[in-house]
Amino acid sequence: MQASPWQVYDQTLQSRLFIGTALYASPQIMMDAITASQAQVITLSLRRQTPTVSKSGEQFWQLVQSLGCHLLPNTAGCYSVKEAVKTARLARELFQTDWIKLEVLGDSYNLQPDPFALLEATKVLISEGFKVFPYSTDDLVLCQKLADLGCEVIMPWGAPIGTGKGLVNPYALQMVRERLPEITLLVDAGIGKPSDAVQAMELGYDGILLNTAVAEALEPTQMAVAFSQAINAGRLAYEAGLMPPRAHAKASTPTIEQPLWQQYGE
Amino acid sequence: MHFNGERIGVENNITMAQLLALKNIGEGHFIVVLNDELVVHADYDVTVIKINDAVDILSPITGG
Repeated sequence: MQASPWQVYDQTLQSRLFIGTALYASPQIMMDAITASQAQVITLSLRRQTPTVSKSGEQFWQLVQSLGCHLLPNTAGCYSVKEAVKTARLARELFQTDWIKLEVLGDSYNLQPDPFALLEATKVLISEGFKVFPYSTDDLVLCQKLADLGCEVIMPWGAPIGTGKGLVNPYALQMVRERLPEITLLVDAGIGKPSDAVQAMELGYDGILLNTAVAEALEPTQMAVAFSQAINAGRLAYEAGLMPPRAHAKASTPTIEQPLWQQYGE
Repeated sequence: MHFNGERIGVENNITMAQLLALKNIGEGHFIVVLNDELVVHADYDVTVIKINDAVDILSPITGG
C-alpha cells in the first residue's frame, strides 16, 4: 500500500523521498541505490570542470538523465547571499529548472544555515521566479518568515549534515509542523536510520531528503529500499491517525466474564 | 587570464568561441561563465576576453 501522492510546487509526486547523488562508492552503486529508492527527486550540484580534462561531469549528466527524476540543484558550499544567488542563477541555466535547494551556511563546523542570509537570498530568488527549497534550521520563527516570503516548501534540518544523529529536536520540528500546516515540510539532513525517517513522517512531515545514510551504508541499495519503505510506513501511519499516548495501562483483551477474575483475590 | 582557476596565457582580446576551440571544448553539458556572469552560447563569438578576465566552465556534479 502506498501513501497518498503529494504536491511539491508544480509537481505531483508519489515517492516522499528526495535522495542525494553524492558520496557513493561508484556511479553504478549510485544508480542502483537511487533506482531502488524509487525517489522521483534527486539533488545535485555544479562545479568548475574542464570537459576535456575530466569526463566525469558529462558521464554523471548522462546517468542523471537516464534516471528520469526531477532535478533539485543545490547551492552547497555558499556562505553569502551573493554566492548563493549567483550559484542558483547558474544552476537554473545548467539544469533548466527553477527549483533550487537553497543552502546559505553560517558555520563551517556544523554546516548550520545562516538564517539571516537565508531569508535575504530567498527573497531575491523568489522575486526572480525560483521555486525555493530552503535548507533551514528547525527554528519556528525562521520557518514562518520563509513561508511569509512565499516558500511553499521548507526543509528544516533533523541534525547537521552528514551526522546521522536523527531528529535532535523533535519538539521544535513538531512545532514547525503544527504552526505551518499549509506548508510542505521535508526534514533535510541528519537522518541516519530508517527509524529517524519514520519519526519525522509520523510527526506529519511530508517528505525526507537524505544522502549520506544511503550512500555510506554497507549495502546502499538495500538501505535505499529500507528508507523507501520506512518513509512510506511513516506517512501511512500519520494518515491513518496515531492513537493518543496514555499515562496508564489499558487492557486490550476484554475483562468482562473473565473466569476467576479477581474473585478470589485477597 | 584565469581559466577554471588556473592562470593561462592566451592572446589578448580572444573571443570566447576561440578560447573554447583552443581548449577543445565543444560538445557536452556545461555553461560558460565570464567573471561570474553567464555567457550564453549565442554570445560566444562576440564575447571578448581580456587579460585579467576569469573564465569558468561549470558542469553537473554530485550533490546532497
